[in-house]
Amino acid sequence: MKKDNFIFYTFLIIIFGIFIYVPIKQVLISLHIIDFYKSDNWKLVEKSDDYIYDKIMSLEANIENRYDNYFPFYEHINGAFYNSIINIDSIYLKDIYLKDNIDMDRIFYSKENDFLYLVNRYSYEELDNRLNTQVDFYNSINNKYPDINLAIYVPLRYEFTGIQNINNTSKLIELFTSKLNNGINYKLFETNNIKEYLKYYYKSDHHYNSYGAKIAYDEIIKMYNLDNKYQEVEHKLVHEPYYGSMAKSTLLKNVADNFTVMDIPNNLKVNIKDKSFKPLNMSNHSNPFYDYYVGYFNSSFDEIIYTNNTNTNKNLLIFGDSMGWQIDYMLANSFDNTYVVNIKYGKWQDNSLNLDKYIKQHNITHILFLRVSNNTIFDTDNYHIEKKVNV
Amino acid sequence: MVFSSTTFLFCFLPLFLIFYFISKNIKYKNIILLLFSLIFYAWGEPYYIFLMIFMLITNYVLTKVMAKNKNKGVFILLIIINLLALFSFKYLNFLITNINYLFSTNISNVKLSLPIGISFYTFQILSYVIDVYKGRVECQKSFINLACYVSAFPQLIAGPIVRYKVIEQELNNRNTTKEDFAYGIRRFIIGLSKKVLIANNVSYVADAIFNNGITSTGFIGIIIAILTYTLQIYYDFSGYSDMAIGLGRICGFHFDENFNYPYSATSITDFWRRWHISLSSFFRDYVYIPLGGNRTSTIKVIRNILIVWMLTGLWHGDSWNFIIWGLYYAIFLLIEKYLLKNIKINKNLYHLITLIIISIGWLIFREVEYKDLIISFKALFGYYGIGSINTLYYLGIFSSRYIIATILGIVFASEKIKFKDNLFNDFLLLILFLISIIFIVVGSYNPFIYFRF
Repeated sequence: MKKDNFIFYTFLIIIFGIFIYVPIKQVLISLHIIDFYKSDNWKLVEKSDDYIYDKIMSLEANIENRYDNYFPFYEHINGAFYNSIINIDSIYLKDIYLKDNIDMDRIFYSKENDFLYLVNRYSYEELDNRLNTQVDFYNSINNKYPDINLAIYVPLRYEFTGIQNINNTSKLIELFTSKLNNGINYKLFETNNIKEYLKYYYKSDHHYNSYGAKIAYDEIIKMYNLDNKYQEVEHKLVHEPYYGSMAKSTLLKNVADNFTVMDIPNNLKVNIKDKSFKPLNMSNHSNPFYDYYVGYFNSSFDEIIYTNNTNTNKNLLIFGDSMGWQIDYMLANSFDNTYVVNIKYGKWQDNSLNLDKYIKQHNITHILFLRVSNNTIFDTDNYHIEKKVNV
Repeated sequence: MVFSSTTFLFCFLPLFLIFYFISKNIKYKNIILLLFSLIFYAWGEPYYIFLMIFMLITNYVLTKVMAKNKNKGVFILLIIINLLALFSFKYLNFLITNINYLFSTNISNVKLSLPIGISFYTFQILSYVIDVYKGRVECQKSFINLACYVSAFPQLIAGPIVRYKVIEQELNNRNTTKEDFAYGIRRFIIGLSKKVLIANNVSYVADAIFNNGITSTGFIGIIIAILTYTLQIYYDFSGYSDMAIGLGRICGFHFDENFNYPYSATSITDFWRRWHISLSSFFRDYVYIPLGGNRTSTIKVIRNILIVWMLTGLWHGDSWNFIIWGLYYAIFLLIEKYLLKNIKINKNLYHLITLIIISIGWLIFREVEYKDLIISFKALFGYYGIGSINTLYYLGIFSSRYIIATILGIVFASEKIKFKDNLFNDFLLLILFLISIIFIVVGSYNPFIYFRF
């Protein structure tokens, strides 16, 4: 009996200790005695038509969210866990696998160059198949609308650059460009070495920084043979440290960036859902892993319309995602109207876009695909743009 | 709800223990156990609770009617009702798919998802009904007690399949001593550690290779994948059984063991005496022996073995690979029974052969799609070459946590290593518990990459 006391009492102390800790923390947060920022790990319940079912699910999610997110030292446990993995694995590995993010991309940490990068989850053969689907889609647009100036801009994610020869995927990039119709303008944002890559991309996030975004703008404008309206721009530091999407996924604080933006006044008229919209300007947020990238750049809208007081007779349709957010308004300055469509969000989740109708309705003269390279070439996140956009 | 979640460990379990141990009367204890079991079952999928309650009421009422005058008609009706429920939810779409394939018809699949644990609780109910009919156990008078037997949360979702006679007495009278409680904690922690520290980690390796490119990881990849999947399935399932036995003991129940170091088996026959014991003994007692068992002609024995193993395979899932997997074992069992019985083979060599047969069996078990199975076998026979270390590297499988989990998995699969109850080992167990909690906490964090407005 006596020999059982140790495990008996210690086990009960642990489970009852945390059992009590969580509601106490809830009370302290409610009374604003302690600060708590609601992270993006807070699960939401999708609404159904069933009221009772929704109520039950909501109750369950509330309990689960609290026992996950209010867990003692939650953030520290996560950060310390991945730090330990880095410390142990770096004894014998150059690049260390940390975890899969919510899109099932693998997050790796490069010890040598102190940055995080993503590797997609597909085999070479699967990527090859996916590539063909996307190529067919772009070619079909070009075949049907030969008069429209169609361009694809591809900011290559680290794994596709060929700097490290990850799973030979750089070969697939060559294959992709070789299969595109001659009538399609394309440009790869290539970086040839790690120094160059880290100059234009964040260390903790999968996007390009403001310097990379400027390069992207310059190259797109050049592709379209238009005047560059932003030859020289200032880059303004707005947040430091900035923990990007990959740091956020691991709660690691040892890889951080400076968050800079191009200091350009935005005088365009911006419409979202028929209402005028002003780009956000996020101040410092209490959540150290707050996603400033999204906060600054218009974010997740299904359709944004920029109207310019010009008469160029040029109208641009951008099929974009977060890669376009930093530069879409800059591009819009060269067109009468610019329509930015993000098929991930809003109305496009349930409806397809009739391209023929859209082109006629808005007198589209230019189409630009400006999305993350893994989706532009392989649709690794399964957004199926080729099905959402009826050519 | 799953045992390896913060909600179960730090909310459900403490609340249950408070209410359960406040109740002094066995009647109230059973009511509390039943109520918490229903909450446990309904968590995440509330509506299938009504199916289980319907099955409980039907079986409770009709078994009483059956037991009164040993009514064979009611007995057959009960067997049909239970099997029909299992068939409708688990096998109907499988049947429709096969009919469509065979007769080129276009019958639509039924939109029914599989209720969690239905295979387990249906078999528990069946064992109760058959044993009552055969006069092996008394008919349970209390609905609460019967409902407790079927739906008790420790074994509800993944077994073991507890026979009614095993806990018949304990449903009416049981006590939990501190010794029982401590034993339950030890078993629970061992099970949780098996699941969280070994099964979950080796499963990453197996899934990464199986899902991401057997064709590019070649022979080395498939060998690593088979090894880790072999470990995963054992530690996942036996870990769950350990947790169930531990929680059962905390509640005062003494469930039978479900695993006995199956990878230490020296033959396939021996393996099935050690693997998922509650299922194989169920099929032995309720199918094999009623069919005539061993005490019949050789042809009938062969028939009986083929039927039992086809059903064993089918029990695991509604796909042909499970049937093939069952028949695969039937063939090896028949070979051992009739061809190898008088041949002496070196014990260590046959142990190794047994492990290889089991591992290849798991490959059949895992690959539901026929095409994937062919690819896996091609890789196994070197069709895709030796494999690319570079590709394996970027699958992330060389991380220390996966290597350590694989080594621990191999070491602890041996029956030579057993935990003894002493203070030092209790200390180690608590350390394992804390490490498991860390892994659970880390696993619970999966934020949206983008801020949501």
